[in-house]
Amino acid sequence: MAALLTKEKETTLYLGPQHPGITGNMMVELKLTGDTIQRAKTHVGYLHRAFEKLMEERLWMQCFPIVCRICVPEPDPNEENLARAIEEIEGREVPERAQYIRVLMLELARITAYLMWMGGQSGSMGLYTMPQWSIGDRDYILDLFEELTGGRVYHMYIWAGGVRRDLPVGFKDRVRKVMDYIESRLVDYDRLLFENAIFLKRAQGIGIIDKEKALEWGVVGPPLRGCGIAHDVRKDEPYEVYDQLDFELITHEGNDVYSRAMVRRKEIEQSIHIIRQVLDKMPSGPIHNPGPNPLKWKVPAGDAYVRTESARGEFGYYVVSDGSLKPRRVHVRGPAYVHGIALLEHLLQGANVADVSFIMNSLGTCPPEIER
Amino acid sequence: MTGFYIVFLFLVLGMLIVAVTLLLSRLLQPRKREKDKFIPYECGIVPEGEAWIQFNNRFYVIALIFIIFDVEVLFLFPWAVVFDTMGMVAFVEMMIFIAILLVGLAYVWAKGDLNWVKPKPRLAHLAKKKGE
Amino acid sequence: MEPILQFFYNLVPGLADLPLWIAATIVGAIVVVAMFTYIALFALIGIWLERKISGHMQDRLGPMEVGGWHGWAQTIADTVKLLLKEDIVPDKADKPLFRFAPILVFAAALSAFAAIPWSRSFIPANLNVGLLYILSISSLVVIGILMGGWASNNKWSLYGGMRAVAQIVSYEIPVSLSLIVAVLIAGTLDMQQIVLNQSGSILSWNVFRFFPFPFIAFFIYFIASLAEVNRTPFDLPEAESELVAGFQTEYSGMRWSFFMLAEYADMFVVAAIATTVFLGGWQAPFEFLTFIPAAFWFLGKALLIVFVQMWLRWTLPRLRVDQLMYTAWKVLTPFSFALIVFVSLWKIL
Repeated sequence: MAALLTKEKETTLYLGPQHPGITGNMMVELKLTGDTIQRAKTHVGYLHRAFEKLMEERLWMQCFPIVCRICVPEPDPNEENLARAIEEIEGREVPERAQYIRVLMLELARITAYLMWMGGQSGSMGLYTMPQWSIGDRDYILDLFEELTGGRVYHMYIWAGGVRRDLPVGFKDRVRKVMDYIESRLVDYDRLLFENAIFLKRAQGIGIIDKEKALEWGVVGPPLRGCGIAHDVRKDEPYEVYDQLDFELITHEGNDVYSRAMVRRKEIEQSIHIIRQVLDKMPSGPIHNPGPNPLKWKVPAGDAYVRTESARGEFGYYVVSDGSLKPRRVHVRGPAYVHGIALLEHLLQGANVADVSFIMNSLGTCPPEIER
Repeated sequence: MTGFYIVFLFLVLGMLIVAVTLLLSRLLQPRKREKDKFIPYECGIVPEGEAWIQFNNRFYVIALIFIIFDVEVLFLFPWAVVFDTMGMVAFVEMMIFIAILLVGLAYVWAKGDLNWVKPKPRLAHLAKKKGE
Repeated sequence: MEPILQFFYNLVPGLADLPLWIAATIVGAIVVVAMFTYIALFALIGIWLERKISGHMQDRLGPMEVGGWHGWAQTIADTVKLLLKEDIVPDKADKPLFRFAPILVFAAALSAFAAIPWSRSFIPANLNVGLLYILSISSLVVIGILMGGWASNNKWSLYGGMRAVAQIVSYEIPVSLSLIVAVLIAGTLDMQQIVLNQSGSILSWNVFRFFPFPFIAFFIYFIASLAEVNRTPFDLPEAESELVAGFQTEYSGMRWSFFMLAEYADMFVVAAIATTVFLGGWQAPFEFLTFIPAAFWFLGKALLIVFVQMWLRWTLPRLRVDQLMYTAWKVLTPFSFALIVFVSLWKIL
């Protein structure tokens, strides 16, 4: 037996760029013996839109519509990052109400991203009811976004100095209603996915990240917290008003797909909790600290690195200004770059070919963000 | 025998019906030859090498076990039919037969041949640590 | 006298004057066409129903446009579209095998209908080894699937085909073993006789006799039969997020739809076997309900099982290959062996 097994030839299989199980357009080159993956190599470049370079040729204000395209399921952390970086360079103050609204946006976006992830994770193992449910429920939050910002997916709402529009009349009540609804739906999600015996069987012990190496590899977000390591920018380096809000930092032991799933599952509850606090505590006041005319807006020379906790992990922006109308350099450090390339290649070694998209989804790989 | 004749008709006419429908579809459908259309689908990439590859022999082991058990099932069917008339003799004999086969199943089970390869994460540094 | 011939002689007395082989051919052809029509109708309605069921389970409506009332004509429109669609045979494929695979798969699925009793007088072919015949003829499907997967010269198809073979072959053991439990009780392999042995009330159905062993056997059969027909949670051969479309990746148009048709036919066949062997076939559950035609009871029971198959599809995710094999060999097979031993022991004592 053993002798026969070692003699087996390797097959090359390309998973993607057009494959129903892949989270976007990217390719994983698999070297297989039978069902087992010996080596995996990711190939990206199918979605390269040169955002970082584009921004060097745009006015500061024109960068905001560009950055939110970096991540489709969750664009707000990008706007938030760019805005905060510019504010840090300029030293511009943000009104407190605007800070609360930003937190509201970021947490709503986190829930939408988790709902979308839930769909992807279940779709990758053939449970097609879950995507329909969770993405259907996500639409209620998108309705809120549309009411507030005019856009459902890309909002261009957070900008330097504050936010673009104030909350409409009765908006808070509608947010509360949607939050109550999502909270009630969590029971259904648990029964369909998180407590599903087959999901437990499939997810436990699969895609194990080595806990000791996790920080070295640069793993962030739910995958890191799924290794039992408490790391969250919202707690470590509170931005906006996160230090005034009460929420728990979720960690889960296990290092596998299941523990990542449970971290996300529990963080939905935490986000709902945060949103309720934000709605209660939100002060009145201005929402924007206006700057110069956008066409003549020059950011003083300097640089800043800011971090935001997105649904997939820590998002970092390094912005350099030479004092001109346009940024000198905007560098994006996204979580998907680490997760979707280096970590994925590691985790796929020795995995079953059936688990490729399963593991990929659990890491929250997002090809548009890998090659911004 | 009429029954088997009808079964034969089922097989032959079944194939004929499919063939006729395919012919009908053939007459109705457009046919445009474009080279790229006839390349095997490999996720948008030009396929590398043949798909007729040497395949894992785990399938072979499963097939062997299957044949053993299927033959056994074949013996069990007539046994089950005449069980009422044979009584104790049939019971004892079949229990011996099943016992032998169960020993076989236990053997394959213990040998681990019933296990499909379980996914084993193979992290290079973990392996090294074990070696130390 | 073959019951089906008797059935037609009663309908058309003139048939009896013809020589036997001509009469049998005519009757056989009519029955085959009738069964084909039934499969096509069942697939049309079944696919539409599955879409509606899945839609409502998933908080949406399903097809609503084509044909007006709840999109009833959606599947018909799809069929017409598939009929008009260009049929592609890849250049590198093994063309004869590629073309023959769907024909074989469908013919095997259709032939399984030959031994299914619909009522006391209507059974296409009354074989004394009916059950064994159905089991063996539906195994031919495996060969067709492997043929299609191999001939496509596509890695996804090959993986799908190989998985299908390993899966179907493994689950054939628990299927046969759990049926043997029922055969032990019935004492015959003749499908019609199995049904007749269960006449009486609901309590004389095989599921409820020798309680609880055949009851467990029924569940083992149901689980294993899901794997036999590649339904979720055992839809690994065509797992979309893993293998694109498995063994059917290269198939398009009418050839593909025959695979689909065969899948639906097989769904009905396994449900019909479960009905016949465990649930009393065309028998009414209570004596006083016998005025309702037998075919109604048969169809009702079988379609109920089909509904459960669809229901499961939208509530369960897929297993992984190793878990699939684990379930077949280490759970279902030993359990069904134990059931056989228990039932035969009970009968002896």
